[in-house]
Amino acid sequence: MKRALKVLNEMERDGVFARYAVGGAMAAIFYVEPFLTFDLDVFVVLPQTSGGLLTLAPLYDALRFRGYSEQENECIMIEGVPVQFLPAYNSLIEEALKEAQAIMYEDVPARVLRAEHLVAISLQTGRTKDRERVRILREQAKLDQNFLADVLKRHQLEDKWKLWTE
Amino acid sequence: MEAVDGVNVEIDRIFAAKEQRRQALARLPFPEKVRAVIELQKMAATILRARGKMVRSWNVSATNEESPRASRLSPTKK
Repeated sequence: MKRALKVLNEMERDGVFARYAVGGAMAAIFYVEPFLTFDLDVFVVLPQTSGGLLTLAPLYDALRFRGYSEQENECIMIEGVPVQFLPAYNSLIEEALKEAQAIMYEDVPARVLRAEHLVAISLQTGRTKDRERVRILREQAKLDQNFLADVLKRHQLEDKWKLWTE
Repeated sequence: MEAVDGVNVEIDRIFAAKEQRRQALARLPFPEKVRAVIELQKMAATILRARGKMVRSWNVSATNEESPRASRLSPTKK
């Protein structure tokens, strides 16, 4: 994963995307006990296109240029890790990316979404596995309750939170 | 009733130990957790492939992310 993160850092530096952060299961694992997952979800802020269209095509071109073209189930293999790129598709993801936590993975800098944003994204996505993710984050991550309350309010997720936690 | 209480005490002790273990796993450094995930992938991939689901574990051996220590962590499957 270290090499994959290095590639992501290079791509951010080269302007392929404006900002990235690890999300999904691997981000949750940063805060809780390890559990099974097979891909690395990476949220990205893409540069503005003239037509305002959200497209990952330039990102895939940049990866191909770097020699990463092998695809597997919507993922691109980067240094042995299947990476799923997800553009910031709504205001919650945009905010989560903006406020992502800077970390060091051994000697490589990286970013991981905050635990409170992972909870909010799980609530918004709403699948069974998201419900389980909310449960384990509540149980094991040290959630900033005030910050979480603000996020839930801002993105109209308070009712869903109550439904899932009461 | 005494025997039942004795059993409950033992079960409580086991559950408390399991919970402590999970909390300890949650406190591991991130690279250690990633190593544990890769070990889980290897274990699960064999089973899933036998069921016809094609999955493979991360191929990160060249980056020193596979460690014999990871196999001792026994993380839980979610």
